[in-house]
Amino acid sequence: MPFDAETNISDDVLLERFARGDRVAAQILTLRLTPIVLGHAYRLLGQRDEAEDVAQEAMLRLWRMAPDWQPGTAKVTTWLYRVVANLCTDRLRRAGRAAPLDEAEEPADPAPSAPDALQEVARSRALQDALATLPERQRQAIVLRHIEELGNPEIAEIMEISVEAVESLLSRGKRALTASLHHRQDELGYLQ
Amino acid sequence: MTGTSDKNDTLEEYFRAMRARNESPNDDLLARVLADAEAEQTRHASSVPVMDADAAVQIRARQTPGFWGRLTGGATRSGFDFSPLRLLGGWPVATGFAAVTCAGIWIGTLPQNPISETGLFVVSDAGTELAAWGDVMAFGLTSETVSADGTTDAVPAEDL
Repeated sequence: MPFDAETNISDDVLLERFARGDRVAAQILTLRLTPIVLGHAYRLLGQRDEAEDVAQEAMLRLWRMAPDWQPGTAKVTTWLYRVVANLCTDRLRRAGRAAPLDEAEEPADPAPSAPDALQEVARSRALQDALATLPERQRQAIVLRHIEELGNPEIAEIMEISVEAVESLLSRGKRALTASLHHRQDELGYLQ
Repeated sequence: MTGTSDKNDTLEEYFRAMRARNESPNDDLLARVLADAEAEQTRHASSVPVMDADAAVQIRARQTPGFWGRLTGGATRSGFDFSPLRLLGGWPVATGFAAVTCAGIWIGTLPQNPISETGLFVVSDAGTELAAWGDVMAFGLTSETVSADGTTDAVPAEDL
């Protein structure tokens, strides 16, 4: 049975099937959740190889937790975002890095014939650098709200803080990002 | 307000650019994640015995307390045992109750004049005397003595 045939099945149900030994459920969850986990880890860490390690570790914790998962108590992705954030925080603290993106890898070059794509890559990289200058909690809130596009209540659940605290983090984070990117505009000339 | 709106629009351009850049996992990462998943499934399957539906029903039936289970009960989560047996005082007290009950039933079902039928035969030198101890106990004063010649004499109880 092709994976696509079951892609409308909820994460909860797939996780339950996984816990019962269903190999297809394991494959669907891997394909569905690994990109989300990897992307979030990369945006918080800024390094691809470390983000991959975090993604693998987060998914391993998901597999181990599966038999005890209580359907309906929380979204699987909410749980994963929290695990990724904790793993990233641990790595950053162990490495003594306040700003995680100092050594961010260069994004892959787009096709030379696509100037718009080139500008998008430049903007993405500028934002990644600017995110690196933010305090850890502000960076996490900004990424969850504006990149992962989650609602404030879910962000509050992931970060285990109140919605008001999330709004405060977002407000301060966006002010700091604006200031940081304003300095980069001269440097990046062609950006607005 | 316009300045704030412009800043937000500019920021949104950056956010959109980052959202467009997907960090796709490569095949190697997917293979590692999937290998972990299958290893966990194997580990879990080996640690949890697989049982069929019939076995599960039998185990559930075994875990459901029957009459004696409910009677004797056991400590609850709070540490108290509210089973009927425990409330009576335990097995020793319950055994005492049972013995008293049996004795009561036995006495209650005996015939009305049991002692006269199981009376005591008293043999004296003068002859065989049948002392109807039941009558003695019942009337307190006399007993009948059957002499060797077949006559019956009344004997005061205090003389026996």
